[in-house]
Amino acid sequence: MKNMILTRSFIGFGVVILVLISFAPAAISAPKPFWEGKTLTFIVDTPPSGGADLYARHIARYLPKHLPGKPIAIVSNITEGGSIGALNRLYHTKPDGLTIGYVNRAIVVNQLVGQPGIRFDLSKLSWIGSPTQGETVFYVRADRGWNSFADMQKSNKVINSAASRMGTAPYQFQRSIELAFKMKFNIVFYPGTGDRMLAIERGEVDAGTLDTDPFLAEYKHLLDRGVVKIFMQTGLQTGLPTGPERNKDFPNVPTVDELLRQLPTDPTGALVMRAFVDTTVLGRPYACPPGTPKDRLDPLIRAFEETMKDPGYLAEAEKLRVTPKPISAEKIAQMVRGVLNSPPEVTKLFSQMFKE
Amino acid sequence: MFDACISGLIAVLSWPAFGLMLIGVAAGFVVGILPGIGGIATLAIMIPFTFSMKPAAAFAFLLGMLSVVTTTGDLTSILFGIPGEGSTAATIVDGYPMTRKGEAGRALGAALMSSLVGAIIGVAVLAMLVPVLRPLVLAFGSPEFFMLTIIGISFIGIMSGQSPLKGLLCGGLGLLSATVGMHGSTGIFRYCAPIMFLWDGIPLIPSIIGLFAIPELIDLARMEVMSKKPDVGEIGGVMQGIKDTFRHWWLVVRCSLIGTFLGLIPGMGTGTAAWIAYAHAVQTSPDKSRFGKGAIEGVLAPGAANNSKEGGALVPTVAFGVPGGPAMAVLLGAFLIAGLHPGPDMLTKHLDITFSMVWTVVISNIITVLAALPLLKYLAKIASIKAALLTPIILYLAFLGAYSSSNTIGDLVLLVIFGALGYVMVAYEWPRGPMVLGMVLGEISEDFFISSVGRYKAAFFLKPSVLILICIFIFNVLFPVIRERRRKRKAA
Repeated sequence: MKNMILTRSFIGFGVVILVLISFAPAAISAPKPFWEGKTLTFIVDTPPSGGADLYARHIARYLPKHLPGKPIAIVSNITEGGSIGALNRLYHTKPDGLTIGYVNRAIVVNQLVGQPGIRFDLSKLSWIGSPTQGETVFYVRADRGWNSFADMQKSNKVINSAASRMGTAPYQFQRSIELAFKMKFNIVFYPGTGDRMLAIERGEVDAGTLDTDPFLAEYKHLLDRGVVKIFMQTGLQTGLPTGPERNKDFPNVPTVDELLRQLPTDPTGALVMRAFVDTTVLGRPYACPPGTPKDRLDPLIRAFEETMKDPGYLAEAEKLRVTPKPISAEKIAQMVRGVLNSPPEVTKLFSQMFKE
Repeated sequence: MFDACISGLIAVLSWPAFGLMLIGVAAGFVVGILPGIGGIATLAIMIPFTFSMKPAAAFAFLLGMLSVVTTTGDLTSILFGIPGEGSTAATIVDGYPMTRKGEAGRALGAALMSSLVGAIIGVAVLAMLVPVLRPLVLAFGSPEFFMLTIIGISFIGIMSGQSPLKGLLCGGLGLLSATVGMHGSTGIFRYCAPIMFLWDGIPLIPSIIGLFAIPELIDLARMEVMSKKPDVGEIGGVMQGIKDTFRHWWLVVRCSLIGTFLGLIPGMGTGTAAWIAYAHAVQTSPDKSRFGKGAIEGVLAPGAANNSKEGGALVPTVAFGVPGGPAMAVLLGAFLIAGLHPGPDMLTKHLDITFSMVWTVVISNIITVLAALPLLKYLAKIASIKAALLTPIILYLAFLGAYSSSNTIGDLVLLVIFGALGYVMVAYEWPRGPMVLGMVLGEISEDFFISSVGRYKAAFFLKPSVLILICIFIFNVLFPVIRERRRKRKAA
C-alpha cells in the first residue's frame, strides 16, 4: 500500500514537472509585461477643473495604449499645498514607473529663489516629456491709446495688469517685462484666469498675459471684437540663431526676443526675461519621481512620444485646442538645468520679485 | 430669439440628446445622494464621453447630470445630516431636525419641489435677460463684488437667532478660519506654515461635514432610532412638503432670485447662495425662534437657491468664458471639445445652444422630481431604521465624503477636529450656520478686496456704485433692529 502511494506520488510529481517544462519556454520567451494589470497614476496639482486637469486626462486616455501591458490610468488631483505640494508628493513617491506627475512650469523659478515648502530638486526628476511647447501673449486694452509695445514703453505710465497669485507664470512674466524694459507695472491679483480676462473686458486693468492656446481657444473674441491688442509674444522656439518664430496666428506681433534686441532694456533684466521665456517653453511637462529605473523610464518616454503621434490623441488635441509641439525629456532636463544654474544677479532679481 | 428658444428645445428633445440627458440625470441622481462622490469630479470623468457628441447632446448629458446633483444632494442632507454636496449644507440646519421630528417626508417633498421651482426660475431669468446679460455682468467690478460679499457677511447677524453675540463670534471664527493659507498677493503663509495641507486654506467640505454630521452622529448613536414616529402618511408627508412650497411661494421666488443673482457672480454662488437664502428666510420670518429646530422655510429657501444658482452661473460661463463655479469650469472644457467659444457668439450666433442648456436644466429637474417622488416615502422610512445599524453607515459616508475633498489623510483629521468643535457648539447652543457663512464668504471677500485695493487703493470706496451698496449694507444691518424695536414698542 505504502509503495503504491509512493509510486502514485512520483507519477503525479512527474506529471507536474512535465507540465511545467512544457509551459516553461513560453513563460521564458514572453514574461508578463510590468504594467500588465497595474494602475498608472497621473498626479495633477489642480482640482478636477481647468486646463491642467483636462489635458492630463487627455494624455492619460492614450498613453497606456502605448505601454507594454496596457495598464489602467487614473488621474489623482492632489491639491494639498498647490503645485509645490503635488510635486513634493510626486518627488517622494516610490520610483516604480507607476506614477507620473504634471509639473507646473512656474515651479522652476520657485525652486531657483528657494520658495518655502519645496522638498524637491527639479534637476533630479525623471522627465517624460511635454505635449506642447508653451507660448504666452501679452495683451493690452485697445482703448488705452498705445499702438505698439514701444509706445507703451515710451509713455512711462504705470500699467495696471492682471495676474494670479504671486509666483505664478503670469506674475513672473509681467515682472520680467517690468525689469527688462524698465517699465512700471501695478500688478492686480485675481483668483483665476477667467477673472483676469473679465477684468480686462470690463476695463478694470490695462494689460495681462495668457498662454497662447487658451487665449485662442477661449478669448480670441476679445481680439476679434477689438477689445484687446497683442503687443508681444514669447514665440515658438526653433533653436535657430534667428531666435524664436512668431506664432502663425499672430504674424504681426513681435517676439520677446525681437523686442529685447530692438528696444532699450536693462541688461540683467533682459537675462531674467530670457530665463523666464525658457521656462515658458517647457509647456506642460510630465515627470516620474527621481531614480525611476531605466527599464521603466525608457518605455514611459517611448509611450509618451508614441502618444504624441497617435491619431486619436491628435484628433482630440485639436478639439481641445492643444497645439501638438512635443518637447523631449532630454530637452526639458537641459532647459530646467539651464534656469536653475542662472547667474547670481538673475537669481537675485527673481528673488526680489517674490518679496515685493 | 423665440426661434432660438424653440430650436434649443427641439435639440434637447431629439434623439440622442434626450436619451443622453436621461443617462446624465440617472448618474447625477446617484452622485448627488452619495456624499463620497463629488459632482464636479464625476463631471470631469464624463467629459471624454462627449468627444464624439454634438454640442446639444453633450450639454444635455453633462448639464443633465449637474443640474440634479444639488437636488438629490438635499435628500442626503435632510435624511442623514451629511451634506451630499458642499453646497447643500444649509439644508441640514432645518431639514435634519425635521427628520428627527418625524417629518422627513415633508422635508424631502419641500426640498424637491423648491429645487424644481428654483431651477425653473433660474433659467427663466437667464432666458429673459439674454439681451442684457453681458452689460449686466460687466457693470460689476471687483469693488462692487467686494461690497456684495460684505452684504452677505452682514447676514451672519441675522442668522444668529436669539443670541446675536454668539452668532457674531461664530461668524468671526469662520472669517478667521478663512484667512488660513497662503495669502494670494503676498505669498505669506498665515497660520499654516508647517502644515502643507493648509496652504490652500481650510478645505470646506470636510469642515462642513465635521461641523454638522459628527455631532448628529454622536447624538444618533445614543438613540434607538433616528425618529420614533416617522411620518409616513399617504406618501410619507411628501405631499405636505410640496404644498408648503406653494404656500410659501413668495419666499421660494425671492430665494430663487437670490440664487440666480449670486450665481451670476463668478466664484460666489456655489457655496454662498443657499446660506444667504437661508439667512433671508430667517430675516423675513416673523418667528425666528423656529429656525434650526425644523422650520419648513429653512428647507425651502436653500433648496430653491441651490438650484437657481446653476442658471445664474451659466451666464458668466457662456457669455464670458469665466466659470461661475468649479462645476462650470469643467463645463468650460466641454465647450472647447464641442467646438464652441464662450463669449458674445453664445448669445447671438449660438443662441440655440445656450437655450438648449436652459431647457436641459428645466427638463432634467422635472424628470428628477417625477422620478424621485415615488421613492421619497421609502427614503423617509430610513429614519425608522435602528440607530445601531444606521450610525456606522452614515459615519462611513461622512468619512468618505470628507476624504473626497483632497484625497489626503488631512481631510479626515480636519473632519474629526471640526466634528469635535461642532459637538461643543451644539452642546452649548452656539450657532454653526454663521460660522460656515464666515468660512464661505471670507475667502471670496478677501479675493475681491485684494483686487479692489490692488487696482484702486482706498479710493474704491468712493465709487458711486460702491456707495449705493454701502447704503444697502447699512439698511440690511439696521432694518431688523429697527423692525424689532417697532414691534416691541407696539406690543408695549
